Parts: sequence; structure tokens; C-alpha cells
Amino acid sequence: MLSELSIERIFRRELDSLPLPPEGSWTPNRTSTRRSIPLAVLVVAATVVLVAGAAITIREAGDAAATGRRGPSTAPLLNVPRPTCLRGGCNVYRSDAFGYGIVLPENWRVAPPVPGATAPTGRLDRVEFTRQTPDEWTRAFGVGLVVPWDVVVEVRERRGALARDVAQADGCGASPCVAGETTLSQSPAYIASWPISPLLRMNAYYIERGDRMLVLRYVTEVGRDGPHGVTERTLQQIVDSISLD
Amino acid sequence: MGLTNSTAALHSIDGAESVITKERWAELYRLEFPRVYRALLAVLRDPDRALDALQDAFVAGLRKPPAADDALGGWLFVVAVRSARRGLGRQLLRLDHARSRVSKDEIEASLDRMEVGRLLAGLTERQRAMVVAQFYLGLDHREIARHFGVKSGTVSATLAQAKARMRAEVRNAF
Repeated sequence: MLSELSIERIFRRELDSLPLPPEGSWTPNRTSTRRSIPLAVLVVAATVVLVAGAAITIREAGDAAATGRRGPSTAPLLNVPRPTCLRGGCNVYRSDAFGYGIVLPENWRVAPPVPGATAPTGRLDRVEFTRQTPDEWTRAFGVGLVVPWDVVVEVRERRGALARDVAQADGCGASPCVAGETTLSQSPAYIASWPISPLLRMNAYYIERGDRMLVLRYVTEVGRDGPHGVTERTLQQIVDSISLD
Repeated sequence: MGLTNSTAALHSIDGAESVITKERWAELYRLEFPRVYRALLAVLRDPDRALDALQDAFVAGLRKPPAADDALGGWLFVVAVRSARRGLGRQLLRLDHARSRVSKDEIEASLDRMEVGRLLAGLTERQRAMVVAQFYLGLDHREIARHFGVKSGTVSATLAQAKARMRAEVRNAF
């Protein structure tokens, strides 16, 4: 009834369903010393953030009321450089058309569209965020080339597909893939990460939103950090910052 | 990722130069992470402690990696379990914890819904660790004894007690 073989099967089947944390947090940033923060410091920091957040929310609500901005919009996407951080000079990119907002660190910007590029069938929107300068980005970009250390947000037609299916279609599974589930902006998200070359690794998040699929992805270089101090944690923080309407 | 001098080889426990470079270690760690993290969740029932402990094991491996790749999952698991025990008394919170995003309550609720979670709930943490090492990570008694630094007979006795308790749990459930 409780043979060891059946126990092993049950263990694997059930424990394999437990959620994993975001891959960006698997490896500690510190490798030698512990970085500990007393609870009191965290409480003070959290209080400051809450107060700042409340102030920003009130201001944004006032802006929205003044401009009548509510509900879906078909206006072109805009990079709105509204400062939302007390320190660090963060900006918010907001897509009213597709119902999301994302916080960009200082000096990040929206990469220009690629001239002559044709969107794949079913892709409704694609925005690439980069820390690289225009010259660097132009040099890095080529036909079919993925720019490492950029964050890409895509909106695709879902056509009934599950996040897992889309991840597989993107390459998860064709290559050894680590997958799991998490939550972004209180919505379930499917995470997948797979090598796209010996030196590059794709990290992607898939969020099912009705008849659309929101995909956030970035590529990291194995064993290296990105340009201008960008690390995987930077990219993870950008992904974590997404807010969904 | 904070790895420096990535081409330098690490040194194994006996001091001889190991083939495991820092890059290789990070790669092996990432491959083993899902399995070992879930094993730790089953034992510790706390995502923050599990992540913290596994990160500690990663750092420990950077300093002093295991001698061979083949038992890496078991090595990471046991080093992490020990680290979690040491960390029980800590009264500090770490920023890294903010990234686990799944709460302890959610994990406990998930485990309580699982047959495995209910079976493990009645065991001590040490019994849970050995049971998970055997049935989920696939280690045999000899490997468990070596990793935990105990005699094989101790492993057999601990597992026998744990299985008896799990059988009783199954009987009580019907």
C-alpha cells in the first residue's frame, strides 16, 4: 500500500509541483559576506516607501482625473518620463493600449523600432527597454540578434494557448529548460529559462490575460554582467515592477 | 552574478585542484536548484528559509566545492539543511527574502493539500530531511549517511521510524 516505489512516485509528482522563486534570486548577489538588515531598518524603509507611494498615487489620480484618462486607449504608445522614485530617478513606461506599466531605472530608455522588421503573426505589440546608449544599441543589434541585457515586453494574441505552450514554442523544451510559476502584479505568471547559445540564456515570463498573452523576457550572458552596471537583478527588478490594469 | 575570477579553478576539499570552475559550479547549481529547493521546501516548509539556506550552500560551494559532480544535489541539500538549522536563531531579515514572493503560509497550505505534505508533517525535521533525501532526491542509505555525517545504521533507524509514522498516518487517513 505504501511501497517505496509508490512513495517515490508520489514524492516526485507532488513536490515537483511546488513553485520556484524567480530565477534571478537563485544565486545570491553576495558571495562572501552576509548582507543582513535589522528589522527596524526594514520597517522604517517600508514606511518611507508607503508614504511615497501614497503621495504618487494621489498625484497620479489627480493627473488622470484632470486629463480624463480612463479605460483602454488606442493611442500610440508613449514613453512617459514621469519621475516616480524619490531617489534614483526612475521613470515609468505606461501602455494604456495594452494595460500595463513598468518602472525603468535611471538612464534606461525605450529602444527604437527596427526599420523594416516585420512582426510575427499574432504579435500585437513589442517594446524593448535598454540601458545601452543609442550607438551601443545600434552596434549590438542585427537581424535575428537578441540584444542581451535589454528587457522586452510583448503582447501577443493568445488563441487559447496556455503560457506553458507558448514558452515551449519560444524554445523552452527544445533546449534544457527550467520552468516554474510565480506571481507578477498579483497575476499568475509562468517562468521559463533556457540556453539559446553556450554564452546566452533566455529568461521569459508569460502572463495569460484573457485573449492576450503578455510576455516579458530578457537575455543574460553566462558568467558576466551587462553594460553600465546592469545585472540580472536589475532586469529582475524591472520585471517585478510591472503593474497590470 | 557576483562571480569574479571565473576562469580560476576552485579547490576541492582535500586541497587538490578541482575541475569545477566557478562558472561550472554556477551552472551545476542552477541545474540542481529546482530539485533541491523543492526538497528543502518539503523539509523546512518555509520558502524564505529554503532560499536562504540554498544560497548559503551555493556560497559554501564557491569556497569549498564537493569533490565530484555526481552527488551535487545531495551535497547542496545537506549543506543547506545544516545552514537552515544554524539560521533558526537569527533575528535579522534580509533583503533577499523580499524576492521569494511565495509566502510561508502559501507553501504550508500547498503541502497540506498534498499527500506527501501530510505524511511529512508528522515527522521531525531530521526525519523529513532523510525521507526527502531518499524518496525525492533518490539517495541511498550509504549516501545519506555520508552526506549527513552519521553511520548508516543511524540512517536506517531514522528512516524506519519515519516510515512507521507515515504508515500510521496513512492508516489513520482511511
